[in-house]
Amino acid sequence: MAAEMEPPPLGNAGETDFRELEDGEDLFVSTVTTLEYPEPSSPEPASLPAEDISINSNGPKQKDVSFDDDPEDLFAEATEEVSLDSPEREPILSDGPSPAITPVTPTTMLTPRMDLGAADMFERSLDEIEEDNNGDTFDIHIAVSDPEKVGDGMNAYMGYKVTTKTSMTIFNKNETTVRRRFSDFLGLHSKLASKYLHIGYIVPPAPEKSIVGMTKVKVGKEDLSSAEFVEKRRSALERYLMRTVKHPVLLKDPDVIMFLESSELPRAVSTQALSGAGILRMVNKAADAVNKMTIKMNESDAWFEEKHQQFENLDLQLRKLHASVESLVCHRKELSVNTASFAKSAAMLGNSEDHTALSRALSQLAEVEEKIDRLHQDQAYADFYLFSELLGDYVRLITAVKSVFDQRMKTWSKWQDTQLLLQKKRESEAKLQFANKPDKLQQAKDEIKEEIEELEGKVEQGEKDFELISKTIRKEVSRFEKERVKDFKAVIIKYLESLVQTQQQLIKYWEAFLPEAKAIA
Amino acid sequence: VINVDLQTDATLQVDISDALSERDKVKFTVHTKSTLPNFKQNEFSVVRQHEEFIWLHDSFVENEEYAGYIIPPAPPRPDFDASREKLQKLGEGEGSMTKEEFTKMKQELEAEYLAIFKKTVAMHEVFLCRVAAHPVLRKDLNFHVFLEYNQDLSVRGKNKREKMEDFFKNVVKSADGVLVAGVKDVDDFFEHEKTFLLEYHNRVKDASAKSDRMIRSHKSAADDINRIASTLYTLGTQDSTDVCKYWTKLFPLFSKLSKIEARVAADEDLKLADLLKYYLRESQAAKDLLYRRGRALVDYENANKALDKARAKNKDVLQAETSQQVCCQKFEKISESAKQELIDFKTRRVAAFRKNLVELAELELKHAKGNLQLLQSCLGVLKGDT
Repeated sequence: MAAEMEPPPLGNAGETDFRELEDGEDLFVSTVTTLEYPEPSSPEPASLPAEDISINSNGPKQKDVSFDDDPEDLFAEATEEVSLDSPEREPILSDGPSPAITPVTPTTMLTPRMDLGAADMFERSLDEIEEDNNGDTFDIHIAVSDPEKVGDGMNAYMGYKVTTKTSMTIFNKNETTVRRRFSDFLGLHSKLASKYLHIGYIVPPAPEKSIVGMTKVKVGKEDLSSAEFVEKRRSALERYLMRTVKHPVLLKDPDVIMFLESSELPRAVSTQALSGAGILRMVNKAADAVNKMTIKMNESDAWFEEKHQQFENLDLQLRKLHASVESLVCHRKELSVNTASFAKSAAMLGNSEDHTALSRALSQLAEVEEKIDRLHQDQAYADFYLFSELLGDYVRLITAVKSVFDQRMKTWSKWQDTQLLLQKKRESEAKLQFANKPDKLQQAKDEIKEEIEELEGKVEQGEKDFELISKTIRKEVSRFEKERVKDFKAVIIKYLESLVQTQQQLIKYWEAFLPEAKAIA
Repeated sequence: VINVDLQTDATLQVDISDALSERDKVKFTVHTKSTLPNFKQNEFSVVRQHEEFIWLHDSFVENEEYAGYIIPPAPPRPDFDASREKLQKLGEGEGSMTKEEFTKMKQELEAEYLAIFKKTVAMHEVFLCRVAAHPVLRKDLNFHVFLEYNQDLSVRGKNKREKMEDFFKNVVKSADGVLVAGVKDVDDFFEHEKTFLLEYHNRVKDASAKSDRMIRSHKSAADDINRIASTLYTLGTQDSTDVCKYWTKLFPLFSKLSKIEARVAADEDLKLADLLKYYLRESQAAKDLLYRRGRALVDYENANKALDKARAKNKDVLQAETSQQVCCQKFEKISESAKQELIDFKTRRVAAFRKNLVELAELELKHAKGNLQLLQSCLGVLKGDT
């Protein structure tokens, strides 16, 4: 991706500080650090014994754990010891934008990392924008925080604080704080979509509206579910902004910059669901859907055919995965509640047990289960905020990707229609040649000639548009795929670390309980 | 196995060596090894069904001679309905899922069916072992017939009228139970036991229900993880982009994690839920014993009153004296054995809880460590990978 700035080659390792990156937060631009849920502390990477990686073949060596049913262990390849300081780590650390890297002196040559396939003839000014960064490395961090209810009753809304910290020169200040409301975010997305979607840029979708959720907040329901709703939304807004600014072109859009910096923002009324604009949007969406079905495009480019299919498949599977993870969150919460309930019951049983040692052991069991229920609750949060929300985001992103493909189809369609029109006009012109009305003939001929010229220009433009959007989409898709892997990987690692923590706690609790049980005499 | 130390007596050893599940019944092969002279052979087997176990149990309960003992609780009826229904639904939905999914789910359901099957065998076996271990019950004639008679015992299940009679008997018993329980006992030991058992029984009932619910949630979570694994597998096989290689690495992790979680739930079920269920039934049996003793006490006291009246009127004195003596003997006999029974009950209970809680903790540890190793191993791969 042309715009992703590469930090200096590691020869200058002295200047850049990689320490922070090793905490496993390197790539997922730290939105996670601001989440309110109890964040499991990432295990010290340095303490991860290299042996862990070399435990291979069919699972753990202990005899009693029987995992022999797996035909081949895909970790078998993990026999290589990879120390965290070794050069092999470099590609991860230096891969792409990272906020922890301090800005580099502008004189360093910035070369695009990705081979873009298409000839790198940048015709449009947008491409130039991507290249020209004033030597800025990508260094920006946005936090959404402090949700505060403003107003009362059905007109109330939630205001959020948006803090932008950056060293990039496109911004006026290094640190800006503004207050925004949900409709502002939607308004931003709406503007960006209208500007960039039709030329093939994947505009990250904004978080979804929720009438039910918001109503609860508006009427002042101060219960756990509304608190959760607000937190879920806050987190989603933060991820949304970070994804938007990670896009090299969108980052520089004046609307984005204004959103982040400007203290006052004109109210985006057209984003209301039931407004005139909202209804118009729905109608357009429906019309689009119908059109999509009727456009039969001759796909000459196998790449598009293939990618389109890939995204369809991915969409299907991600939705399935998302549904399963949501179910897991639900059952984990349920498990937490039921464990707490059992703990109380076990405590009661211990109270009524008249054998002293057994009574004590049962009380201990109750305590263990109580701790475990909190563990399950924490794990459910992690399941949700890490795994589930990530999947939800990507399901929506894929929809944006698909719509970009649709835009290309529309562009093609427009081009073809113009071509058809031109052809018709030419036929009319030819007919005119044989017409028998000499007085009107010259005038008509001139008119048609003008129209034809205009159409020829339009056809040429249409072709150019189509080629451009195709090129842009290729770039966007490869950027998207790259981002996706990084994103998922970083989040999955964090998620697995949360699972690790849960297991470690479980071990602690049961190890403490075991002697108590053995002490029953 | 819920009970401990029941197999130490070589003179009579009973176990269920085999079991067969047919349409809607289970056939247990009851295997006996004995040096007792009562049996024709030293080792023999017969086939029994659930109804015959119930018949044996009920014959103990109805036997006045055994009023002073805790009658080992009857094993619950084998219940494969839920499992069978699931298997049927799976068969119906075969068309809507991939071959891999279908095979996988079928295997899981079959495993579940097998687990339920093993449990019901264990519970029937425990019942027999408890009887065989009891100094008096093991000599029961019906028990010997049950063990040895190699024909069908022809104990039809209770018909409608008999079931109704049972129902009424229970109603009367519980009303009676309240009556009898209200009478304060002169004996501190029994007074304490009464208070203890009433409360304990209720608490065990509650704990048993709550543990069931907890374990069910656990199983659901394990199922979800399994489904996640399946989708990861599909994602991994969609194409050969870098992303897909990534999914492919995650699939085995989640697949194994789900298996471990399922095993945790199964172990909790075995060591905790089953334990609580069993002691729910045993504590009920102990309560029944107390009730019988209470009944006998009331009869004894009534007989005393009747004797006083008879003596006062000087009418039917001999009859009243005999009656009073009978009641007295009955009451004292029950009291004596009941005391020992209740002490034994406590010993058994403590031992069973100890064994199961220790095993539970050990299994939880084993599984958590297994999970941990898998996770750390996968993390190592992911982090070290470009």
